[in-house]
Amino acid sequence: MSDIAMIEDTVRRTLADALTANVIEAAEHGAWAGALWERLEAQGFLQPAALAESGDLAEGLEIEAAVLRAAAASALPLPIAETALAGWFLARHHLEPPTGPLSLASFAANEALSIADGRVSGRLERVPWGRNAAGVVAMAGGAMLLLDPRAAAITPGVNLAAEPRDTLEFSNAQPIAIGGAADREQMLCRCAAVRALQMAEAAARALEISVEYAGQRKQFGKPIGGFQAIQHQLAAAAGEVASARVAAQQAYFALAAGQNVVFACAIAKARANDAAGTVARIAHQVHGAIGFTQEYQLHRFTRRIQSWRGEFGASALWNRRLGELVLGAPGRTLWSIVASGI
Amino acid sequence: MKTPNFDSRMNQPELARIRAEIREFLANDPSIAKPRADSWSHFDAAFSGRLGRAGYIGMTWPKRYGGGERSSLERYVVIEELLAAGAPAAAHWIADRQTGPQLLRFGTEAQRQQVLPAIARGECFCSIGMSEPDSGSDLASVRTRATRTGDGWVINGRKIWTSYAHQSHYVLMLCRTSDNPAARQQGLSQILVPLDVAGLTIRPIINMAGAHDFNELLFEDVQVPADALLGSEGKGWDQVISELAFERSGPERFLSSFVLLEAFADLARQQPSAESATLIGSMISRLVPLRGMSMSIAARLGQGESPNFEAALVKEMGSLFEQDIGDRLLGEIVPAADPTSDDKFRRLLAEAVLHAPSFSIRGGTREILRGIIARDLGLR
Ligand SMILES: Cc1cc2nc3c(=O)[nH]c(=O)nc-3n(C[C@H](O)[C@H](O)[C@H](O)COP(=O)(O)OP(=O)(O)OC[C@H]3O[C@@H](n4cnc5c(N)ncnc54)[C@H](O)[C@@H]3O)c2cc1C
Repeated sequence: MSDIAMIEDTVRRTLADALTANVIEAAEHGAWAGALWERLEAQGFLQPAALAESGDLAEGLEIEAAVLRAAAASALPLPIAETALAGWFLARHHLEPPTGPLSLASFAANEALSIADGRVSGRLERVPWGRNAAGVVAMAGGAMLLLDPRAAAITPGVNLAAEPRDTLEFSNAQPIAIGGAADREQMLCRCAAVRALQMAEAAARALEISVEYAGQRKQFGKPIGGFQAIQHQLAAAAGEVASARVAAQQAYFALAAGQNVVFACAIAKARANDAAGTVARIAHQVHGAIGFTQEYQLHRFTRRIQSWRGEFGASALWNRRLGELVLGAPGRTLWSIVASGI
Repeated sequence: MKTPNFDSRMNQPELARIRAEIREFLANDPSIAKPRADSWSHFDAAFSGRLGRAGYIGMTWPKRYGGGERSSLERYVVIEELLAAGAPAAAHWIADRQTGPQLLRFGTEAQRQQVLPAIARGECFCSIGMSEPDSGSDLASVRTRATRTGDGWVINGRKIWTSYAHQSHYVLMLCRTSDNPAARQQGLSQILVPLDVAGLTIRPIINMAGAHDFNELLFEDVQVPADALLGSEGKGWDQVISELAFERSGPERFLSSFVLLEAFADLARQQPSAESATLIGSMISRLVPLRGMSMSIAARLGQGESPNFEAALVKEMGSLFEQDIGDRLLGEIVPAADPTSDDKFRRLLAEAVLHAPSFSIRGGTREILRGIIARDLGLR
C-alpha cells in the first residue's frame, strides 16, 4: 500500500470504529463531536498543509484528498474539509493556525466585509460550524483575514444534513490576524475543488449502498437488482459517479501543477453538482420507503451531496464562468482549450 | 461491487509534439475546408490515403507491418484531432481501430503481411460483419454459417448495417461454424472475407440523413480459402469481446458533435450572452472529465489490458453527451437547421441532429451498455 492509501485506510478505520450511532445522532442535534475531533487531531491528519512539511504542494494535496475521501465516504459530521482549507490558506500567508477546528467564508462575489483601521465589520452568511470554529478565514479589502467567531454575533443555522451553517455578524471586530493580498476567485476555486471531491466520494458511497441494497432486497421472488429497470438506473448513476470522481481528480492535478486552476475547479464543481442530483434521485428510488427513513443510513450521504451543490458555487455560476473563460480567451478555439487547458 | 479505475491527468506535455504535427497536417489538408459533424461517418478514400502516407494510420503497430510503433496515447491524440477538426475519417476508421488490431492479435504472419501494410498506407479499408437481420443486440444468435469444405469455407447467410461494405476491401465476419444449442457463444468464428468475392451481393441501405453508409450483405455459397479464418475456429465470441474495449472507449464516442459546439462558440463570441456562455460551460464540464476517462483507457489498452467496464461507462456517458449538444442547441437557442445550407452552423446542426439517434445504437445500444455496467456493479 502506498503512503497515501495507508493514510486513507487509517482514517477509514478510525471512522468505522469511532463514528457510532450515538455520535451521529448527537451531531444531528447540533452537538459538537469533540471526542472524535480530538482523536482525529491526535492522528495528525487534520492539517495536510502542515503535514507536507517538505513544502511539497503535490504531496500535501494528495494527503488532503485521501483524508477527505475517507471522511466523505463516512459522512463525518465535522469540519475537517474547512479546517484543511483554512489551514492551507493560512500557511500560504505564513500565518499560524489557531488550534482546533477552523472554518471559512463562502467567497461569494457579493460577500463583503469592510476593514477600517484594522477593524472588521460586515456579515458572513452560512459559515460551516461557525459556532465551533477557533478561527474563520475570510477576505476584506482584497486581503486575507483570520477572524474570531467569538467576536461576532452568531445566528445559528443548518444545512439539509444538519451541519451547522451559521451567520456571523462582525462590527468593528479585531481580527486574529491579517494576511497579504488574496485573489477571491482563486480561493473560491480551491474550496470548490474540495467540495467537489467530497461530493464525488459521498455520491460514490450512496451508489455503493444502493447496489448492496438492490442485491439483498427481494420482491417478486428475486433481488430487485435483477430487474433491468433497477440495473439501468444504477448503471446511469455509476457513470455520473465515475465522471464526478475524475473531474475532482483533475482539479487536484491542476492545483498541484498550478495550471488550469479556474478551468479544472469550475469543471469539477459543476460536474459534481449535476451528478449529485442524479445520484441522489436514483439512490432513493432504488431503496423504496426504507431510504426515506431516519434510521437507514442512505440520507446521511444524499442530504450532504444535495446541500453541497449550492456551496462554493452552484452549477449556474460555474458553467457560466467556464463558458466566459473559454469564449474569452483570445485566439483560442474551444478544442485547443479542451485538449490543453487554459 | 467493482469500482472503475480511471487515472486521468489533464495535460500530457510529451504529447504536445504529435498534436502539433497532426494539426499542421490537417491545416494543410483540403478536406477540412468543409468540417463534418459525425466525421467518422464521412468516407473519403483520398483523405485516408493522405493520412496513411503521412504515417497516421496503424500508428501503434510494429514497423514491419507498416506501423509507426507509437504509443497508444499518441494515436489517441491523432484520432481526437481528426474528430475535433471534423475530418472525413470513415474510410480507414474501422480498419485502424479494430480490424488491424484484431489481425495483430489473432492473425497469422501471412494474414498480417497481406493486410496490415495496406491498411497503414490508407489503401485498404475494412467493415464489421457482426449484425444480422435477426441478430442485433443478441449478437450470439448470429446464423450466417461458414461450412468447412476440402480446401476452405463456404459461407451462406445475411449481414446487415455493414457500414461502408460497398467501398471497403474486407469484411471481418462473425459466423457460425458449429452448433451447440446449450452454449450459443461457442461454435462462432471470425472470417476475413474480401468484398469482391463471387456470390456476395451488397445492397445499399440509405440512412435517415439521406446517406448511403450502411448495407445489407447476402452470402450465397461464397467460397473463401482455409486461411481466411482469423484466430481459432470456435473462439470467435471471445475474439469479438476483446474487440469491444477498442470499439467503445475512444473519443468518437463523445466527439461526434464537437464541431457543432465549436461552430456555436464562434457565434457566441460574436454575440456574447449569458445563456450561450452557460450552455458552452455546461457542455465543457461534461466533456473534459469524459475525455480524461477515455484517455486513461487508451493508456491501459496500450498496456494490453481490456478495461471493458470503463469502456462501457465512457460510451454510456459519451453518447448522452454527444446527443445533448445538438438537442440543446436545437431546443434552446438556434434558428432552423438545414443540411443543405452554406451557413456552416446550420449545416452542422442538421448533420448532428440527423445522426444523433445512431450514437446510442451503433457499437452496442445504451441498454446493452447499461447491462454491462450493471454486471460489473455486481447486479447480474
Ligand atoms: C450507424 C450504424 C452503423 C452500424 N454499423 C454496423 C456495422 O458496420 N457492422 C455491424 O455488424 N453492425 C453495425 N451496426 C448495427 C449495430 O451494431 C446494431 O444496430 C446494434 O447492435 C443494435 O441492434 P439492432 O439494431 O438490431 O437493435 P435491437 O437489438 O433489435 O434493439 C432494439 C431496441 O431493443 C433494445 N434491446 C435489445 N435487447 C435488449 C435487452 N436484452 N434488454 C433491454 N433492451 C434490449 C435495444 O437496446 C434497442 O433499444 C450499425 C448500426 C448503426 C446505427
